[in-house]
Amino acid sequence: MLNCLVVDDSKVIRKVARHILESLNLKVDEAADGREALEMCDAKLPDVVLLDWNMPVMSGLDFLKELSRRDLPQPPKVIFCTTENGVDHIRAAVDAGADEYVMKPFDRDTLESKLQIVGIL
Amino acid sequence: MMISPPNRAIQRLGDLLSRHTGQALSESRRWRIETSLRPLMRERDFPSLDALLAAIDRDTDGTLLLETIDAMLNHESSFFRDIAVFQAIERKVLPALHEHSREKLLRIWCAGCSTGQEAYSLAMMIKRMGALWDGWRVSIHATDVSPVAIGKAKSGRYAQIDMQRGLPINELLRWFTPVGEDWQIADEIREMVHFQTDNLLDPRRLSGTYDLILCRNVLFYFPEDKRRLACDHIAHHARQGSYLVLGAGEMLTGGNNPFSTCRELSCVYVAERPMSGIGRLAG
Ligand SMILES: C[S@@+](CC[C@H](N)C(=O)[O-])C[C@H]1O[C@@H](n2cnc3c(N)ncnc32)[C@H](O)[C@@H]1O
Ligand SMILES: [Mg+2]
Repeated sequence: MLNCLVVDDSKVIRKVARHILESLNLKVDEAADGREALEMCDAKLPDVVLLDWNMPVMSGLDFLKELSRRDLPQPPKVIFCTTENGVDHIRAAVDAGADEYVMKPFDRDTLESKLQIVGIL
Repeated sequence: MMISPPNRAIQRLGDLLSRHTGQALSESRRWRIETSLRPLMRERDFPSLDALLAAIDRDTDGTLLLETIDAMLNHESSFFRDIAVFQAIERKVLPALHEHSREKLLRIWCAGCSTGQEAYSLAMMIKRMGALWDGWRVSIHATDVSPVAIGKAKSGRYAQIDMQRGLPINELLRWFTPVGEDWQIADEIREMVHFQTDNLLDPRRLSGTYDLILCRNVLFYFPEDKRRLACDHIAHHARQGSYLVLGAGEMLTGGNNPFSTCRELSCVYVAERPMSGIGRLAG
């Protein structure tokens, strides 16, 4: 079973995401900020990360930068979640190493299609 | 308590839909008719289906009729819908067509293209394949019975929700510009597709044969006889070696169609016989 790490400071978003991802047969772990997510990745690398952009302690962008510094042979796929549709914003995430993006609020079909695009489903 | 829908009005609306598109209203869709028409009725202040029908009878230029039919159709679509099918087109079908063509000409037809995502996905895919198509003439002809859908398709403007499903981030960054809350597709992609209103059961805009035909999630809505007619028209515009792509779970009807399934590629068919046997639509 593939592993998904949901990183978001909102408990509600994590709960919604968990519900959807589990229905898509993924095993879900949760982290409330980038720092916590990084620690979890160091302990056990997930297959895919659903990553919020704005979080206290460590933002999504900083998490991505830290993760790429690790030079992992098989880095997890990263789908970043945002509430803004600015191109600059999306481009910054791609440049930092994100594989896909999803706008909040998202639904099952949307997440499913993004997971297919990154090759997880 | 279930309130039975006003049967005469629904019957008439079903007849209008059938006359203009060939689609038959299934029992379950009959129940949803009023729901699909509610936004239009609210916008125009029609208190009932009967009031809407009366206005259609009075309306001389037929616009209201078109809008009513459009509201009854299912236009659901998305970029790269069923990603595995698009992967099969990119990795198997297009390379095969590329290899076997002598004239460096690729003609694609999207039948029932709805609001354009399918045709634009193909255009973006061809761009993505890069130099392979250098020096080729590539044309994408996309048709739908609904002028409303065709209008939206031509505009190339999509809401955020349409962008969410299926469109890879790199294609978004490469080909779309935000316009307010929406996204506008680049002219370079838009110009690759020729959109026209046309009825698959009585096509008047098609010419010659196409190397690749997509007719996905369209046949499903037709009753048996209409599905057969649509298949005949599709066959008539295929040549030996043309590929046909249907929606998931859709099947061809009519014993006389030239298409066979492609091994290991679901939803993809190839015309194996020459079309000479399908002469009855000619002329
Ligand atoms: C569910 S959409 C499918 C869109 C797209 N092919 C896809 O799979 O994403 C079906 C489309 O078929 C169109 N359609 C229905 N009857 C038709 C007919 N007789 N001729 C051409 N198009 C038709 C509808 O207007 C609608 O846009
Ligand atoms: Mg947040």
